[in-house]
Amino acid sequence: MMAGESEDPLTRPEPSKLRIVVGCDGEEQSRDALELARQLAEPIEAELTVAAVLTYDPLLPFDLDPYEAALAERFDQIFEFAAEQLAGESFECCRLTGPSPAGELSGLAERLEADLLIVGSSHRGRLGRIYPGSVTDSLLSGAPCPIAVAPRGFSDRVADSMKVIGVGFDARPEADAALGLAVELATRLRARLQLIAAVSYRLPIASEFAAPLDVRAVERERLETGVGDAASSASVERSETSVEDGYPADILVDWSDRVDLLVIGSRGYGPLRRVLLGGVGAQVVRRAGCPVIVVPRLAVGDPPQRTSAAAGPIEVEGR
Amino acid sequence: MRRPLIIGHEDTPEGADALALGAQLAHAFNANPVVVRAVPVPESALNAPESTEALKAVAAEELKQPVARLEGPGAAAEAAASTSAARALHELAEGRNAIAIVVGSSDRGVLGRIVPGSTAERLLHGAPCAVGVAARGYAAEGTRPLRLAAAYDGSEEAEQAVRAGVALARRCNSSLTLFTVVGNAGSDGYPGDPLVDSRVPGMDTRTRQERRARELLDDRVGVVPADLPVHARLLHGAPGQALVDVSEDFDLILVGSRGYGPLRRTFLGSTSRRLFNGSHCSVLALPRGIDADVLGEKADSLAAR
Repeated sequence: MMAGESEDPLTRPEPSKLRIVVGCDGEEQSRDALELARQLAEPIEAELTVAAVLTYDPLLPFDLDPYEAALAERFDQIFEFAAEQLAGESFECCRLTGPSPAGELSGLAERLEADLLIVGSSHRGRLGRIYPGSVTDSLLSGAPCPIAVAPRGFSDRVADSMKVIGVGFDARPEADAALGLAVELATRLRARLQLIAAVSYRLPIASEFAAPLDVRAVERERLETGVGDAASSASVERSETSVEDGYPADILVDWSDRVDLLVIGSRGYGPLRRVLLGGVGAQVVRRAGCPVIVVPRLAVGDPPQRTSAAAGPIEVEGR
Repeated sequence: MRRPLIIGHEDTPEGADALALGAQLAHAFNANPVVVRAVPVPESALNAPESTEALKAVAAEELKQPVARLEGPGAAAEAAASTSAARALHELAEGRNAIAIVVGSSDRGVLGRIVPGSTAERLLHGAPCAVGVAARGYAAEGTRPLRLAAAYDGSEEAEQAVRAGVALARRCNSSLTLFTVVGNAGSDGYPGDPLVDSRVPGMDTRTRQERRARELLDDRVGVVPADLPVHARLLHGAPGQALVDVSEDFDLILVGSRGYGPLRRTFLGSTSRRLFNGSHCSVLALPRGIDADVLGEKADSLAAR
């Protein structure tokens, strides 16, 4: 399975590499996350870390040598599994133990200043669609870096390069972070950027709270101006825009079958620099057909896209 | 100064449940109950003068009855607008330094389940204060001494839930039951795993686990003031589900926020997420970090925000 276009030395990615962490528990459904990691990391030459978390019961005292041995054996199995799925892509291993897989992954992403943390969908979800399990669900509420979720069965699809990156854009300040990451990925992957905006049907034509306004017309104008400005200022080779009438979640889910990757922002309230789903995002991550990245909201003064300095290989044995 | 406790009101039976639980908690926390009608308003209309006028009218008319049902000083009613109901409540709580937000169960779910994307669910991810969700039918049951429960696993977050439970029990003349759950065997590397047992002759990780849980629970109950009626119970199974199974016997279960994430914010871990999804009784999630007002303690350095 080959992914990505051949490297053109003249348009080499920027020197600072992105750091991608992928969570892997050795179960079948983590193949999807690994495959997404491979498709993203390979063409952009990202630094890839595979993180395995084994849970333990905090109620038990830790004086069990055989328990240590059992853990070590299990870690080895998981990284063998990952290596097989990553098909030659080089990666660093990170062994984590703790009571909460989401907590450990979240902490690791923070320590490594990861640009992206990739996880899979639950085996209970529909095939071909995203559906968060409990770890992914926890990360989607409060993780300190962008979270990418692979649809169930993604690793069984015919691997293709990421040609179109969609971004949900509502021209509000909280959408800037999503746009920033989408532009960054589109540039590095040499993909087309697709800006997607929706004039919500939920908006009343004339609001009882603002009688003289035709709210939808005002909103459409605001969005058309917003996506136009964003597209013209985005430093990508090719971009297209779309402003449609409908329910925003439905429109984004529709687009998820026509783009290779969909980037959305966090909601506009709550703690900054944390992934947090709003009403639309909560639906998109339960229905989308392509991988979805949810980006935390930026604080005022944050650079549009943080690219961390490469950290050295680490082995973390948290406990 | 008394802080507000925000009650998200809707003109539904679930709104009445929120009002009943909110009134009780406001009394217990020595807070001012504020009934709030959260109004989603399109962004373009948010700052129009017409909106402000319309909101005032809503507050005056719709909330007249519910606020009259709140006894005691400091009760107030108002309408709050933002682009979503959850955001309106969140922003109000943040701006007023509220002690808690109380809402009713989602009207879209069966059995009062918290629905993904619902107002309650969004509040439970990152609210700047405690978040309570009233069980369906709470208002109809009438006021009586609360039967309180708190989950305890020895963690710092659970310790806070227990301390809040002790404080609430004292002020409401309630009973308090502490639960510790002995987890299921079977997941990867879990000490109750047969994998470990098979490696050491005579090893029985399950028994060790159970013994340790019992010690932990007994130790914690041992330091609760002797005049409070406190019970301790060991449960078995997946922690979230085990609590759901006993929730029918209680009026309110307290849970801490998960142990990672920002301080002074409410974020659910997997156990409390499961509990909120299936609980038969009301649930109160506490933010990470001690809130002296919730504990009814005069801890000046901690209370400073």
